[in-house]
Amino acid sequence: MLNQLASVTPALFKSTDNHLLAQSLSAIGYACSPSAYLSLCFAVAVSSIIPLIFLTAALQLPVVFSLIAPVIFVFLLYFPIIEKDKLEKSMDVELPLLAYLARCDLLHSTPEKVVRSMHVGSFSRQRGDINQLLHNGLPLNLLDKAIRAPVKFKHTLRLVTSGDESGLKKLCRDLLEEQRNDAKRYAAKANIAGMFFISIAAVLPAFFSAIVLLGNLMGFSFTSFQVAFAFIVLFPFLDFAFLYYLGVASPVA
Amino acid sequence: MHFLLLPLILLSIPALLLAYREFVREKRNSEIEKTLPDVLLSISSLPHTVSFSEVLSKATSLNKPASILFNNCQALILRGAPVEIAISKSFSRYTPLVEKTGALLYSLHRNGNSLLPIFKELSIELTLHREAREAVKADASVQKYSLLISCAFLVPFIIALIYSVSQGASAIFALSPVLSPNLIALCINIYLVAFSFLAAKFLAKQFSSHFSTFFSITCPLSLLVFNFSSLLIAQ
Repeated sequence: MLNQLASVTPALFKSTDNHLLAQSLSAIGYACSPSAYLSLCFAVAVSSIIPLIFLTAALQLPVVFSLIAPVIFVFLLYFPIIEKDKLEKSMDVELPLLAYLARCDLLHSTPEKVVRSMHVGSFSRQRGDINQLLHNGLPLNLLDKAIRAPVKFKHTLRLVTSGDESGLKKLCRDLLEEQRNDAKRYAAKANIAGMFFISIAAVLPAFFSAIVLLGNLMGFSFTSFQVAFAFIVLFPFLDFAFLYYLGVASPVA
Repeated sequence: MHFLLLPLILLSIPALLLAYREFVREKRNSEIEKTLPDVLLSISSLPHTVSFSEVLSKATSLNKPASILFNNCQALILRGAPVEIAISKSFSRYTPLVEKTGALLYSLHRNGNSLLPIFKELSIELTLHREAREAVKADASVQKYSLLISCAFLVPFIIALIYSVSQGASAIFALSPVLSPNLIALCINIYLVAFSFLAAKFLAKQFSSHFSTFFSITCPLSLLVFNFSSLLIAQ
């Protein structure tokens, strides 16, 4: 939906030339310019201010909560970059096998045939691009420069086009070693994440229910709308935010 | 909310059966991946003169968990399926590593048995890949089961414990609550459904599995644990 909206949003920020944003939008398949996407983020953030003001009034909270709008803007702005990182991560997992299979194919096939047939799960788009570029008459040795893909994939492609079997085998081993190191790094993070998760998902709602029930004793009082909002919108939103972070931070299984 | 207990207990039985099925499926996939290098090593020792069907027969005769892949493939070919489709159908339902072995097996069929020695190297390479993936998978499995246990048991139990204790304390201090405890219990039940939904979505995406499997495990169990625990603690 964000993609469809972005493709019809007029570009308000004409001078935007953000290379990283442009790369990320293209990598995740968003057919819009960085300036159009920036305009969409701005429009969504601004249009969220009025409902936020009504919501804070209904919840009897200070109006300062309507300042959540900039948070929405920043999240939307970074969304394509986060999604691109996630995509590259899933590609990295499959790259060692892709390199190894390409090496096996090189033993009985020409580099061009291998390049045309190399595909593993996440690389189906790159395979289509490769076939298109070769069909348009691009020389094999320029393929890695012309294709839009992560650097590691380009390196693999360079080794395949030059028929470097031993280079592919070495790359495969190096990438596997990298995966092992990533797993070790994540193991340390996972313990802390587990603790945070229990506190967000269980302790926060549990103590909130206690405060609501014993509110008179502590001098608090809540309306039924506030309680319903907290349990039905706020806490699930916090869970969603944490699970989204976990999805970005954890290695692809 | 205690009228929910009986239907929740009834719903939890298929949920537990689904959880068991998921566990068995994962264990079988892991065994196939583990024994695949041994099968490939045996194939690689065959002479170059053997036919493709003899390669499949050799792999089938080893009676290892991974042999089932070759057995299925052989059965499909005997029933008249083209080799490419037979390999794709037999090898694609499992893990990516198994799928890629299928791709290489098809290369063997296309290019002749001169490729047989590659399988020895592939066997070593698969072991290395499996070791690297095991390191990642070990963390992912811990994350998966801790999330499932948190969602189905821990989170509803902690909430039920604190909610029931607070409800008891409210009665002891003779506080007149502004909001009915039933309304809060209803909100918590809705929260648990939303939480189960989010956790199931996350697990399904992260482990390329079915959302409905995880949701049907976590949702009834979390509601059952919350309602049953709060009833038990209140008494």
